[in-house]
Amino acid sequence: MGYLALEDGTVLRGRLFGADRPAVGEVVFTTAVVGYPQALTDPSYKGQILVFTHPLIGNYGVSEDQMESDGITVEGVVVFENTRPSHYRSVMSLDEWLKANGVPGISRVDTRHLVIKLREHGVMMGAIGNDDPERLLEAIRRSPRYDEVDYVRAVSTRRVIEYGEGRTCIGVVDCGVKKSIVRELLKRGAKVRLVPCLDWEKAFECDAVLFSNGPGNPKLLSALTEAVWTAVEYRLPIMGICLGHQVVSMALGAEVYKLKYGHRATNKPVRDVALTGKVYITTHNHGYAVRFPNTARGVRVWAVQPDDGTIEGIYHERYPIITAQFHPEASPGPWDTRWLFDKFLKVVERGRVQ
Amino acid sequence: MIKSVLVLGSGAIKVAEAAEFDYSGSQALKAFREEGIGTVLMNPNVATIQTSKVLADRVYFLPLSPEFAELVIERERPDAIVCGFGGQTALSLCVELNDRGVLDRYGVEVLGTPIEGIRTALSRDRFRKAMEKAGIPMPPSVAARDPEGALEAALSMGFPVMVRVSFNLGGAGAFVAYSREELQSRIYKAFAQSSIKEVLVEKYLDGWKEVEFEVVRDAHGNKAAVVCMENVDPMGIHTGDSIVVAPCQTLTDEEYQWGRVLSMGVADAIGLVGEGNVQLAVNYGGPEQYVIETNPRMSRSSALASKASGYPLAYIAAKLALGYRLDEVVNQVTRRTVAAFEPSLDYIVVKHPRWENDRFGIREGLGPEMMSIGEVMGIGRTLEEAWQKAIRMLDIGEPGLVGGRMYQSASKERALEALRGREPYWPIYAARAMELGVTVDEIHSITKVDRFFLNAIKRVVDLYMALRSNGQREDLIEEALVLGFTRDQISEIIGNSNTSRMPAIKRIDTLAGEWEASTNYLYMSYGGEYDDVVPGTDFLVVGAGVFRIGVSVEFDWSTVNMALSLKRRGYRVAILNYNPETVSTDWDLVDRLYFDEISLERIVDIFVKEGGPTVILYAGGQIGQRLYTLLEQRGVRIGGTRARSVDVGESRNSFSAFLDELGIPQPEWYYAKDMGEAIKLAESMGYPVLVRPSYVLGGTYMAVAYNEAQLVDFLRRAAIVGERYPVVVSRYMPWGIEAEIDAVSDGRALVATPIEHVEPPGVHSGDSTMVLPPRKLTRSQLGKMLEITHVIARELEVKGPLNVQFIVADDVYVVEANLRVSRSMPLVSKATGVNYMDLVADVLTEERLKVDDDLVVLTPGRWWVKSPQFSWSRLRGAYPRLGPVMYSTGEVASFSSDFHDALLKSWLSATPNRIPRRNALVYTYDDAYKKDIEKVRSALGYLDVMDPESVGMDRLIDALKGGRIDIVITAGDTPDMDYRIRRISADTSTPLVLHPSLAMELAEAFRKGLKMHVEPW
Repeated sequence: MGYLALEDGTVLRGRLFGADRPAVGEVVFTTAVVGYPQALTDPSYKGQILVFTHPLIGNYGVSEDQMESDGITVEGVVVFENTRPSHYRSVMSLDEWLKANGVPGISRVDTRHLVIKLREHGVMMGAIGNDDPERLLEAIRRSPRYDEVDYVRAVSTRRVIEYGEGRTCIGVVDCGVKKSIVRELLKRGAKVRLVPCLDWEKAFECDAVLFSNGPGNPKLLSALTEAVWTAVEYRLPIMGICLGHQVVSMALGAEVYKLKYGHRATNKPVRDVALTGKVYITTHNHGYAVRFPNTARGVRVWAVQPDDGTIEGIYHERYPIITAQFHPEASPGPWDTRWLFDKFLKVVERGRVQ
Repeated sequence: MIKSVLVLGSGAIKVAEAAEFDYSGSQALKAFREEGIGTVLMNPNVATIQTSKVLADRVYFLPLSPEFAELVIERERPDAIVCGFGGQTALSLCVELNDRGVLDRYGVEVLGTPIEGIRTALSRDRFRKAMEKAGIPMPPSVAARDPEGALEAALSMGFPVMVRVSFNLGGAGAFVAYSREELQSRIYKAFAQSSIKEVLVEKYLDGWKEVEFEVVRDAHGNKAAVVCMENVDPMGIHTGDSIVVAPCQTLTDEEYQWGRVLSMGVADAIGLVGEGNVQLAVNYGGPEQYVIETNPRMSRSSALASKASGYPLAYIAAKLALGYRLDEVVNQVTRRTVAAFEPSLDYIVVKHPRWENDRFGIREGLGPEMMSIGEVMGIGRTLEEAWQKAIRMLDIGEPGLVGGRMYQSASKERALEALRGREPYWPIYAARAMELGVTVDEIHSITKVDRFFLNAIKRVVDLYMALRSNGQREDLIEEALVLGFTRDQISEIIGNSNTSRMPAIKRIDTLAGEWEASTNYLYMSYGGEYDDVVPGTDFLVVGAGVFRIGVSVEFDWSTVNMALSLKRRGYRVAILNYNPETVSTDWDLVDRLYFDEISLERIVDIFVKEGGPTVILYAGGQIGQRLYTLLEQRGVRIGGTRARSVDVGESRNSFSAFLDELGIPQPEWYYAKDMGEAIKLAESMGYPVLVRPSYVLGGTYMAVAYNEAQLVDFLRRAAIVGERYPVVVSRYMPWGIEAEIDAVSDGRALVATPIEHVEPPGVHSGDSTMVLPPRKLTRSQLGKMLEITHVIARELEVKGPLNVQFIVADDVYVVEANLRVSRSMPLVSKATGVNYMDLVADVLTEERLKVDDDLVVLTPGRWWVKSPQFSWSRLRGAYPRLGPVMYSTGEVASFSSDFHDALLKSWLSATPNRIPRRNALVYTYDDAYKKDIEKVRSALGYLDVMDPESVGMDRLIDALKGGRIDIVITAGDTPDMDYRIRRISADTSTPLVLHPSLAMELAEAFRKGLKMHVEPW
């Protein structure tokens, strides 16, 4: 028996599982049905309590190959049911995995009701625990707000790491990069140089720079806009994914705003309005988005989310810059837009030959 | 610019082609109408909703043959044709129209997937080559064009092999062969089921998972994999006979995405435009996946997927066929987001098939050939809740996975035997076996069903056992509700549960709550505490539930028309139903759809939560009848006829007494409480007698006994007879004319239409050929029938529909009366041009029929004939027969100014009927029919008429297997003598006529010939 409390005073009952400790975080939901191991290890969820809208989570257990970082990154997990796994690759259950990572979970919560609440109210801070709900609410009040914490520091690599042997080197500015972004680059024969977020200069020895995904409020990363401009000066091709897209956009004059309850799903359409006119089904995980004032020069939007018009990707008329607010690396989610890495690497290779 | 389009329907309901095509066709018609495009529909299925003038501009009730289609095209000159909304029937017809040059000749454009793509998808060999070219993996296989080739392929591949058939339906003819002998004994049937005489011999992927993706693709190549559905039964059992869950539950993201990529690759390779499904085999112990097959059209799965996800596949497919881009079509549920997305489900659905194998005497287990007759879909927030709901929805008397009669009566050995034999309803046996100590692993090794699913059953069993030992614990009761036990069932297990917990109303919105939805597609669940909606309904129309023999699309027609008639009068209407195939479970139709159980408990829940709407029970057929009294006792307001009147109609005793009181004749009948009494009664009445046990073993609900030996044999074999289980013995009157009256009454006035049967009494009315207006009944006989119907309606204060069945012989006898809609009401409404449900709505909302006279008789101006559709070829091993028990799965109708022309068009609309050109096999082993069969022989004298004696049984069987017999006409019920003849006729799709009365009329119709003249309704 335990509770999920929200900052507006809502208290929902449920059953605790996973680690026996309380958690506080921003409560967000994902509508992705498959891919919970990837989601729970995605560094972009740092500082957040993740609600799964699909009621059965844990069905195929957990295995190493499905991890997006070295461990669980979310603060807490909310599901309707944590299930008993059955899969030939599974090494442990969701419950065991949460315990091993010290992360609490709560099940049997009316997650649909919770999602509608978040949709109507917008995301809220929340807490999971078996304490008196009043004390949980107190814990929420005492904890810093999600938007004010610089989570990137906590998830970024502490030292430079190199992967692969390829001739083309991609410097990844790690704001909380998902392993699958590195995997997609390696798969295409690139060498990857992962550098700490604030040591971004170390990426510039490479042929191109990729600003990665990551957690938290992009406004706290305004220092990184300098990195973008430096890369532009060096004539380095730039790719930005998710938080990286926001950082690059800020450098090019965009304004960042917070979405009411974010885009966290693996089923969202993105329309390519510049290159092919095609529609792709993509993975999203962002609580912020960007918009450009009319004064932003040379910026072109190439990808748009047709439901609410959110900008999902930009390129530049003069500089080799391409970004995606969505996740072309997928994991979890559809592989429809992995070609973006091909496109980027082609640009990089062309530049390298020159 | 396209101004008019021809839509092909799927014809009669048969195994593997059911109401899902009424749903998809209706959606397509709606989508075209929105665009201002005129629609012409060709479909002889008179019971469907699509064949009403509301949806299509013109309707043709004609056989779906290239000859008739050409006549329709010639007359209507449509700009385009759509092939993907009428199942395999429509798809094959389209290909044939194309190949005969008809489409070119009249300049008819094919909308949606091009013919070449369809051909590639349907031919096993071409499909395999196309996949090879696209680099999509398929299981090792070889195409064969004759039995020798098939054997050679199997030998080179090694047994076991799966034999699949090209251009077929629902896996017809497919089988798994473990040996050379097995292959040889069944291969002729496989070839008989393929219109292009091609089979595929494939490596059998024993135990692999089977999943299916529903893919939409527009003409610009944009795609979405709308739903992933996973079969609980592994490869080797036809999807139609599998329990299916959505969304896919046991695939990792990597597996899911790889399957999605392959499915989209298939869609690209065949140039799909619209919607199609792709079936995949997924290794349970490794990363391999194979593409098995694709349907480049709307299918049963796509209807299920639409209902499972809230994504209206058929509607969107129709828009895509017109050239729209996926992101130009709006999501009909949110009305704000676009159709280019993949629904996220915040619930689980379980589809469960319903079989009628007992009725047909089928002993074989489930396999690659579909046999189920209907299906249900349970929705819940746990797998167990959805699954247990589904089991109850099957209406087989089981209260869930545990505790029912089937469950209790099985020993451990029996349960294991059922699991080994892959018998229908195996989950109940699995549950029973678990209670009796069999482990999940053991059941997994027998069934190869993934442990994930078996664990769900285990959880239910464990809880059931816990409830029995410490029942009153509140946490256990709460857990039981969340795992899908009903309050009634819990009370039964633990005594009184006294729980005040109510299920929550949840909405299906395609996006898991992420966006606000404007439609009200609802279900109820204990997996939540908060309702998504507030009260707001005036009427709750209860649907027909699961389809079974005797309950099919006709009751969906009445449900839908009832609801729409009320809605047109300005009321807020909700429908309660749970059959995913149907139009009534289209959430777009009325104000609210409750996709949930039709049970006392659930109707009360909805009644309370909706603030007391009037509940309409008689529109869905029989399922509502037994709830009248119970609901009335619980204070639920029921519209129309009162419970006590319905009960009179339902109870044999009180109805009989009621008739006696009014001096209305009825066939003599009595109760017998033991064998001796039954024999004595039969003797005093005189043989033949009709016997109806109240406790049936197996599937024989009724039988005719011509002598004492037959009576004793039937009662020993098929029934329990005793003080508590009396058997009804009634006088059997297989002479005279069988007739019925469909009517609506307001308790005073009556609007009625009489119908006559071609077959005499003794053939179930659902299996007989109907004609209206009556041909043979005299004016005075008709007058008497109408008078009796009127008296019954008045005396029972009927406020709504009723149907009275008669035997007209030396007198007019009443056989039964049902105070509800009947199977024939769609036919009657279409033939007379008056929608009977509209009349019922008048009675419900204004308490009177708007007629001037007390008795209004509506009769059509032309001859309308309805013919039954049997599915003998699909019901493996069943003996094709006619009798007091119904066997047909569907019906078709046509009309003409000439009776025999109407009969022929109607009869030809049912498959596999064809006009015999060369010969006919005409015989009977039943002396009672000898004379009539002799008459048929001479009526068909212009053909080469054969019988088994003159030809010799072996030569005859060879000729049948070789497809060299044009028609088989027989009579009587003599399986000992002619099982093989009838069975092989069915297996080879040879037309079968099982009654001389029909045969005589058909002979006359053959002689007159078909009028090649078509007319819209």
